[in-house]
Amino acid sequence: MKLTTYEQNMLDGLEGEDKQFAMKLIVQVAEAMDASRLQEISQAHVVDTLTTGTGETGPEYAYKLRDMQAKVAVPTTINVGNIDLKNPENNVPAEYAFEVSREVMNIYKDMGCEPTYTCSPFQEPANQLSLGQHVAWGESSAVPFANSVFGARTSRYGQFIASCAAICGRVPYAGLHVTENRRAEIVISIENLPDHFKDMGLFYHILGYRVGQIVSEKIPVIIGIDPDISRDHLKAFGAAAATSGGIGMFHMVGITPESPTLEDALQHQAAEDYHEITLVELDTVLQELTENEVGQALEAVAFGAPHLSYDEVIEIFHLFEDVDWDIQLPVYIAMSRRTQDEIEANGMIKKFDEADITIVADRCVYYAGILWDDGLKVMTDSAKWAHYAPKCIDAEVTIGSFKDCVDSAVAGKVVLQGFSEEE
Amino acid sequence: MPQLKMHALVDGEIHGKSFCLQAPLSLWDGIDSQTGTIIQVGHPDRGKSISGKILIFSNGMSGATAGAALTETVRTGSSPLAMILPEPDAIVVTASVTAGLLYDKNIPVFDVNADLIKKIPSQTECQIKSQTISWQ
Repeated sequence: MKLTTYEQNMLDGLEGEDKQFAMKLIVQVAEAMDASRLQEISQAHVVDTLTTGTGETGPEYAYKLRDMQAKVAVPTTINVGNIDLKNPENNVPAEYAFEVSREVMNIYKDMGCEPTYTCSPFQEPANQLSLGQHVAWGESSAVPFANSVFGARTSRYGQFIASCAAICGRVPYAGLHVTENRRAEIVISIENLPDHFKDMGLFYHILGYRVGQIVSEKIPVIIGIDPDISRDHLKAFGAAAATSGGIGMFHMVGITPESPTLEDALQHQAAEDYHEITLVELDTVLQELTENEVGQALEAVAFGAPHLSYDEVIEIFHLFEDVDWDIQLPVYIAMSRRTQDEIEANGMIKKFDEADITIVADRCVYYAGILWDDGLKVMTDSAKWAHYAPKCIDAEVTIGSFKDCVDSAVAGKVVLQGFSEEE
Repeated sequence: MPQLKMHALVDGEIHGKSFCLQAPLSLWDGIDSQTGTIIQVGHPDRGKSISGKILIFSNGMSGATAGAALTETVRTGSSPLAMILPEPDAIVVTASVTAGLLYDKNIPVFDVNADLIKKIPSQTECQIKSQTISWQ
C-alpha cells in the first residue's frame, strides 16, 4: 500500500503522537482490507461517546486520546453519549458512572469535535454533505443516509476507527469509498403496494426493516418509491434497514443521486436478485416488531430512534394538541440538543413540560437508564427502537405510527391502526 | 497433516484449541467481555467460553456493529487466541488493532473462503503459521 509523504510523516510520528496513533490504526486496517492507498476525508462523525458495552476499554481509549492531546484534523461531530450533558439534572442513575460518561463526552469536545451528541448527524447544519464527498461516519443508522441521500462516501465505521480517521484525516480507500463497491446488487420493488402507504412514516420503518432482512449487508435498489419522499422517511428507511440487516447504502430510482435510473444504480450490470414486496411480508414484520396486542395496557411511549427532526417534533406536538395533551402514560421524545433548543426558542417545550412529557437529548432512550425498569411494555414509532429495546432494556415493545403512539399515550393501552387508511 | 491456507488480516503465529461457532455471534452484545463467555440469547454455543481459543466463524458473521467488547476481552485477559472469519471484516480488525495499540496485545485475525472454513474441525489442537492452519 502506498502512502503519501505526509501520511508517512504522520505514521513516523513527525506530526505528533496523536496522528501517529491514529495512522497506526488506519494503516493496519487498510492493509487488512487490501486497500491500495488511503483516502483523505473532509468530515467525520465519531461514536466513542457511547460507552455501553465497552467495559473499561471505551473510557481508556478516550483517556489515551486526551493524554496525547489529540485534536481532530477535520470538522467532526459527535454521536449520542450515555448522559444528558447539557442538563445534568435530567440524568437518572444509569449503568454507567455519571462522571465517566461526562468525562468521555467532554474529551471528544475538547478534541475539537462539535458537541452535537446526536445519532442523526445529517439533521445538523454542519453535516450537509455533498455528492462524492469522502467522510468517516460511525453510527449504523446514519451511514446509509450519508451514502444514499447525500451521495457522500463513507464505509460503515464504528468505535475507534471513526475517531482515528478524524484525527489523521484519512481512511482506507476501500468499502463504500470505492465507486465499484457502491453498485446496487438486489432490486426491490414496491410497485404493487397501496398508494396511501407513501405518506405513512410507519411504512418506511417497516419497509426498511424488511429490506434489511432481505439484503443483509448487500446494496438494494428500490423501485416505486414516492419521488416526494421526505428526508425523515429516508432516515427511517435507512435506519431500519441498517438495524435488521446491516446495510451501508441503498438506492431509490429517480431519488437518490447515484441512481437517476435503475441501470445507473446497477452500474449497468445484472442484478443478483429481484424481490417484490408484498403486504403479507410487511404484516409479518409488523407482527415481529409487536409484542403487545391491541388493547394491552402500556407503561410508556418512546418516540425517536434515531433522533427526531424538528419537523417530526412539530408533527407530534400537533398530534398531542389534537388530543388536548390528555395523556395517561409517561412519554419520552428523543432529539438532539439543537432540536431541543429550537423548541425551547419557539415555546413548544413549555407545552411538553406542562404535559409531563420528557424530552431526551444527548442520548438514547434505550440505553441510559431512562426507563425505570426492565421488562416494561412500551409503544414506539421506530423499528430501530422496537428491535433494540427488547435486547437492551428487556422492554416488550409494539410499533405504531406517530398517531398510534399518541392515541396509545391517551388510552393507556395499545391503539394500533397500522397500515389501515386513516379515517 | 490436513491444512488450509488462509489470508491474514492481522498476522500471528498461534497454537491452540479450535472452537467452531455453530451460529453467527454478535461481538457487540453476544459475549461477556469480562469472562469471554458467550451470552447471546438463543445461541447454540451459549455458556461456552471463547477465551484462549482459536475462534472460528464457521457459520457466518452476524452484523457486528461494534468491536469494543472484543478489545475489552484483551484488557481483561479473556480474549480468543485468534479469530478465523469467512470474509474480511474491518470491525473485527479495528478491535484487534486497537487492543494492540492500547494494551500491546492484538488478536491475530484471518479470513478463509466461507465454504473452506467449514473444513476446520472444532475442539482440535491446531497450529497457525505463515497464514496456514494445520491440525492432526
